[in-house]
Amino acid sequence: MACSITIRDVRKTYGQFVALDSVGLDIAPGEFLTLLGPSGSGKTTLLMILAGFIRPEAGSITVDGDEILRKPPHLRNIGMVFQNYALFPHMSVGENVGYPLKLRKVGAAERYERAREALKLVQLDHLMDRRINQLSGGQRQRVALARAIVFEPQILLMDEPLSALDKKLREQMQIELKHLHDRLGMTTVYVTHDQREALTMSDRVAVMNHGHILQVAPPRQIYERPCDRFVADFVGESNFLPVEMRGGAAVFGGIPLQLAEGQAAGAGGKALLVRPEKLDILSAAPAPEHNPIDGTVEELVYQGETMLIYVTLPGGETIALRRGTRQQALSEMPQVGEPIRLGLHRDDTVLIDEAAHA
Amino acid sequence: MSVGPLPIAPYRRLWLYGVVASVLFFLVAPIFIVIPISFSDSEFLEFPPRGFSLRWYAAYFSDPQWMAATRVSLIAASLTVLFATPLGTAAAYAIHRAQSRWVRSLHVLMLLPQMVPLILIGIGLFYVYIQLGLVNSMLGIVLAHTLLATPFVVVTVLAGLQSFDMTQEKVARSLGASWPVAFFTVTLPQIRLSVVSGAFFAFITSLDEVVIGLFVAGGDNTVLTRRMFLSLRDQIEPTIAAISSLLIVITLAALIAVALFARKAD
Repeated sequence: MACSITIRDVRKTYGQFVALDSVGLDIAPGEFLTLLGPSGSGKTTLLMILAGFIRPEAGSITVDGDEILRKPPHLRNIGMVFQNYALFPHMSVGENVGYPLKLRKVGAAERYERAREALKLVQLDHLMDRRINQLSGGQRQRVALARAIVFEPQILLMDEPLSALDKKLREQMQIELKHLHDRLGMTTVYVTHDQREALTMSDRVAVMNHGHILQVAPPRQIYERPCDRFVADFVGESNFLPVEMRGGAAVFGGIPLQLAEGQAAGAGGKALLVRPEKLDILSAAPAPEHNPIDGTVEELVYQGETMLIYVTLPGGETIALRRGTRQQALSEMPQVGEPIRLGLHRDDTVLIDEAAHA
Repeated sequence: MSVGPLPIAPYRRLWLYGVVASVLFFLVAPIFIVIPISFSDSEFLEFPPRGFSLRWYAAYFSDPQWMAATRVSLIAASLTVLFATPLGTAAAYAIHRAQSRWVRSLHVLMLLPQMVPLILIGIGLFYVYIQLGLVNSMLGIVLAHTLLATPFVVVTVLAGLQSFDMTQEKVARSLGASWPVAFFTVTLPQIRLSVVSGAFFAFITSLDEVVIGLFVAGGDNTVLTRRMFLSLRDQIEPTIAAISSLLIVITLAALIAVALFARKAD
C-alpha cells in the first residue's frame, strides 16, 4: 500500500518571493518524513503542492513513478489533515469520517462499518453520532485524522496538526500519531515548525529555510551532526564558539581540540557547536577525553527539571549549559562569580560550517 | 476577556428608549393606517375608517384584472428568485474565492444596480427592450427584476461566506470530492441560510418593484404594483389598502419563515 514519492526541481515563486527554489526530495515507501522550518521557509508550500492545491512553475513529483502534478487534488488519493482540522460542522462525527467513502460510492452499511473502524483507531468510536461542536480540540484532531485515513490513501499529509493543542496533549498525540503510523504504514509527510515534534515522530527530518531543503537526515543526525549553522541553530539549543585553524587542527582558547570521529578541521569558516546538555563540569582531576573550556559563572536559572548555567568565557562569549536538578547535583552547583572549568567530551566535539549550505 | 463599556444607569437611558420608540413609530405608522383603511366600508381612502367591512378584499379577489396582475407579479417574483439566487450565489462565491484584487473589485460593480436611480435603469431598459422586443414580456420583467435582485443575493451570500472556513472545501477535495461536489456537499449546506435569505430578498425586491414596472411591465404582463399605481391615479378607493395589507402579511410571513429556518439550521 505504501508508495514512494520523488520530488524533483520543484520551484514556486510569488512575484519576487521565491517560496521554493528547485527543491528535490526522495521519500521512501512507508516513511514518516517531517518538513521542519520557520514560517516562510516553504514547508507548507511544498505540502500544498503535494496535495495539489498549489501548482509549481517547474519540476516534477512522482508517486511510485507516476507523475501527479497534472492530477487535480481529488484524484491524487492523498489523505490530508489541516492545521485547523476543518471538520464539517453540518455533519456528525460518523458522517465526517464516512464522507470520503461516500464519495467513493461505498454503500451505507459498509461505510458505517469502516468509519467506525477508523474512529476505533483513534479511540473515538463511541462518539460517532456527536456533532462536531460537541467535541474538544483533541477529539477534533482525532476525527480529522480518522477522516484522512478511512479511505486508505497511499499518502498522508499533515500540516501542523497538533499546533492548536496544549503542550501535554500535543506530546501525547505525537506518540499516538507515531504508533498509528507504525500500524498503518502509509507514507507520511508532516509539516511542523516545532523541532522537538519533528525529532520525536520522524524517520527522517528535512530542514527547510528560504525555499531550500538544507539537510535531510534521521533525527539523531539532524541534532548531533547538523550540516550548517542554520540547522544547528534551528534544531535545539546551541552555543557557537569561534575556532581558529592552525596547522590542520581546530584551536579554541589556545588549545587544539580533540574532534569526534569523522570530523575534520578543514580549511576554515567553521565554528564549534556546543549543546548545553553536552557540557560537563570538570573537577580538579584530569579528564583526557574532554576538551576543556574555562570561564566564569554568570547566572543560574532554575527551570524545574533542569538548571541553566550561563558561563562567560575569556573571549567574551557567553555559553549555556544544562544540569539536572537532583538534590545532589543542586548541592554541588557552582555559585555566580566563581571560575568554572567545563569539559566537552571529544565524541561530542563537532565543527559546523559557518556559511549556509544551500 | 475584553471589558465591555460601563453600563449606563437605567434612568439615564430613558431618552434612548424614547428615540427608539419614535423611530419605530415612524417606520410602522403607515402600516397602522393602511390596515384599518383596508377594512373600511367607505368608498374613499379615509382615516380613521367609519365602519368595518371586508368589501375591498372581496373587490380585490373578485376582479379579474387585479387577479391577473397578481398572478403576473407572483410568477415574475418566483422566476426572479430562480434567476437571481444561483446567479448571485455564484458571483459571491467567485468574489470570495478570487485571489486577484481585480476580481474582488467586481464586488462594487455588482452593487451598481442598487446605486443607479431606478428611473434611469427603467428608461435604459425600455430602449434596449424595444430593440429586443422584450417590452411588456414576462422575460423582460424577470430580467429587469433579476438585475435589481442579484445584488441582494450577492451581499447576503458574501456575508455568509465570511464566516465559512474555505479550508473545508480543500479538505473535501483532498478526500476525493471534485470541486463542484465539494461546493454542493460542503460549502452550500453551510451557507444555505444566507442563500435562502438572499432568495427571500430577491422575491420581495421583485414583488415590490414599481418604477421599472411602469416602463416595461404593461399590457398582458402588467405587474400588481403597476396596476396599483395606475389605480391610485385613476380612482382612489380602498382596494389598494386591502392589497397593501395582503402584501404586508405575505412579507411578514416570509420573514418569519426565514427566521424559523434559521433557528432550525442552528
